[in-house]
Amino acid sequence: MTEAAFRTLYNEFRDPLFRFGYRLTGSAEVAEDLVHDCFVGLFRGGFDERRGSPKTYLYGAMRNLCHKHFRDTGRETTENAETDVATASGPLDAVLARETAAAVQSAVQALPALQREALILFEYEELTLEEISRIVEADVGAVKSRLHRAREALRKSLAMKEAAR
Amino acid sequence: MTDRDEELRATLKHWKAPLPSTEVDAKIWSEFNRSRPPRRRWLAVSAGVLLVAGAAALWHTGPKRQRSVRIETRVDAAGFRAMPNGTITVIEAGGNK
Repeated sequence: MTEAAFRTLYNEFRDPLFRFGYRLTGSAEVAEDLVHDCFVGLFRGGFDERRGSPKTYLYGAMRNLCHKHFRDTGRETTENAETDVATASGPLDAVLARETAAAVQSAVQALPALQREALILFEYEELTLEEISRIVEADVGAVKSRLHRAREALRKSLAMKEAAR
Repeated sequence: MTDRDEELRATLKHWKAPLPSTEVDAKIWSEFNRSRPPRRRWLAVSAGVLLVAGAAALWHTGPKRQRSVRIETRVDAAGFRAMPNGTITVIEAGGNK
């Protein structure tokens, strides 16, 4: 792989892969390590153009690294770092937004891994069902089903958190 | 996507991910560059060795420079006097007159 080709892919996918890893593992530090491993795998010849697009390859590699991390550590980490929230207009809005963001984060991270990855790829990374099915190596029907179950679980979880406020 | 899905999507967007640190860039690029130089370094060293060898070969096989040699003869002519009516005698090689 030429330096120019690597640079293009790096600039395009560094942030999305980090976001994906961060949301899947719950740790920025772990996500950075996995982004590193992902790109090292890329320039060491891990990508074969005949097997798909660089996008699905990179997300797939990142996903596999996250699952390997879960297997190696035996647990899914969640940092207590302050949650980044959408910009709020006033102090009260900021508090509410922070609470909502924290509730969303904990609800998403409580999902089973397969549902969580499908939800993150669809809702946050805005990938198509076909792309997700290639990344998670499952058919589109299975991805749809995981997404449906993830949404239902999130609705319940967020409603319970809302009621508890 | 149903309205419920849209509503959930809007709620999910409250959770923003941070950006990766610049350390990860430095680490990846340093590893990328480390993975490539062996060939380039080998080429650079080979080119350097060839250049030096070529220059040395040219130096040894090129036309030799003529050394300018200066021969200086000093004759002490002090006390020399020409012989009056002197004759010149040629002595040939072998001693025959």
